Amino acid sequence: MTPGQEDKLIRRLKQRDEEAFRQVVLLYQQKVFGLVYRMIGDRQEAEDISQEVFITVFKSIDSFRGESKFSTWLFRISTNLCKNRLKYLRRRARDRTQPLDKTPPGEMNHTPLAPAPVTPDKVAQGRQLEAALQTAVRELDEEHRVLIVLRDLQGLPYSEISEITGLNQGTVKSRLHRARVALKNKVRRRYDTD
Amino acid sequence: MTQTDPPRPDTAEALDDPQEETPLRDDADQALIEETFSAYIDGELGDAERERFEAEIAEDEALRAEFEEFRETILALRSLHAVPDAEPPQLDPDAFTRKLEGTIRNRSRGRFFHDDFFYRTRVPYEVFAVIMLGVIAAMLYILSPAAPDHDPSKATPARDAMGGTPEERRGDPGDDDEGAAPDEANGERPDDDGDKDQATDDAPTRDDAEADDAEAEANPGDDAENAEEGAEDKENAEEGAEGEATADEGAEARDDAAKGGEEAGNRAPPEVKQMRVEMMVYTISLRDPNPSQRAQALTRQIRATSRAFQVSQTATRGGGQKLTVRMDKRQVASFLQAFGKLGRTRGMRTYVESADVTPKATVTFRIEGAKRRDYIPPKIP
Repeated sequence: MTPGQEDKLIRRLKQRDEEAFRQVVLLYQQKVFGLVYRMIGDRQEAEDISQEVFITVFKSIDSFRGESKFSTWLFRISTNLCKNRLKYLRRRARDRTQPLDKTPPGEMNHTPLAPAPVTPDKVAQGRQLEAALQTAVRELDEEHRVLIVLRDLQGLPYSEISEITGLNQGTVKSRLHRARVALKNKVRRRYDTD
Repeated sequence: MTQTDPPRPDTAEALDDPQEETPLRDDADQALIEETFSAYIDGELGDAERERFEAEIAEDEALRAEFEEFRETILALRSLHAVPDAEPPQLDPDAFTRKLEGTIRNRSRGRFFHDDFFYRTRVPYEVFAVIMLGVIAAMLYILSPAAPDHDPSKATPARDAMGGTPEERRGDPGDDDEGAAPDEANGERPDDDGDKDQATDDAPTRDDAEADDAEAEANPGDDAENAEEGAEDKENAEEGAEGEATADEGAEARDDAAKGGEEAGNRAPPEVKQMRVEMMVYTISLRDPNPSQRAQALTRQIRATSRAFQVSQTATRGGGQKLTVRMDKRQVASFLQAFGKLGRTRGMRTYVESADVTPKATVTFRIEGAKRRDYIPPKIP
């Protein structure tokens, strides 16, 4: 989509043009869902948050001043909603924490953020690294995870990540590097334990 | 390499980091080297920096191994999307859009994404309230008995405040001029009017004397009153025949009088349809050392103003005088303008059951006695 087309679409969206909103949803729903899913790690949660992202867009489009790309604004909404959701889920998980000896084995690791178990099938299929990576990404703290997702999974440039997160580019680079190091170490530990 | 936020490895990460175990590099060097790894992978290094870094890792085998591990991790991470199992589940675009539109429709209470036009075009409550008030006002105006007689050009604030249609005092359904005809013909109303008024004074009361008078006078179902009126018409007709009235009018009046007398004699109930009509009643209270003389003077003045006014005078129990003036509702404003300043004027609206809705009004002068020294002569117009 050219910048001119995007501007026109935004103008129509500001007039609460429902057809324009449908176009925006069709254009960005997979990207938003992908980002949210990587952040949250649970399909249903990710779908709900994606819905909220577009509802927020529809409600708050007047506050979009066009100083950044629309997609950047959209991803910023997405990451903010993800962070809020993660905080909520973390708080809820903490409130529901039980002593380990009272937790039935079948109920372990069922929270959305819990690392997925590395199954022998995957190991057997030679996908240990991918599985370890997915798990490691979920285990990262949210500040690191959002940078990993935006940069290495979504492929966004530093400038856009900077706009989305509100951090300056230097901070983004250094924090991203720490996130990568943490990720590498988690993957190595998982390999070592396996 | 631009650096505005120096790396400060988390304690946990630092403990996990195998490079912590390398005694040859301190923390700052280690952080710098690792950031160079990232910058190299991201293509953020300049030519000179890149060449220097490549030369360094070519010479240092441990550093190269460390960089390779780091790069493999990052490249594997970036290739996650190419692995089918690692791909995030795909959304069903239609289902997602439908659900989204449904949520917005519910939260906006049908304002958006609703097929029904009336849900989409919401009218503000204020507009709806104004429309409803207008409808109610129109209905009240249409249903009001005063509506057909309302003439805005002749309206006065007092009249508007009173509103409504005065009832016809008599059973005669003729208009005001016709109603006044006997007086005009006679020149002066017969003295027995006073008796009639006294009779009406004795009628059952509603809220106050004025309302009682009006109701009693307006009720043609009162047999005694009909009989009186029949006799009165007969007298009027006879006197009218002697005076200015034509022979035909006299004959018609006699017929009416005879009919009235006959009806009174038979006491046959009038076959008229009763309805609730509005009556305008004004009372002007004043004091005078000689109420009777003042009432007579006032009677002359009123009749001199217009012969259409029907004036009757009665004595009250307290020694005062009561002067009752009946008129068309449209004459009330000018009448009050002329005589309302004589005393304390108050007006009220009442309803009477009557068969006639001809706009009539009553202005009653209540003249009470006053001591000579307290008396201030009024300015008579």
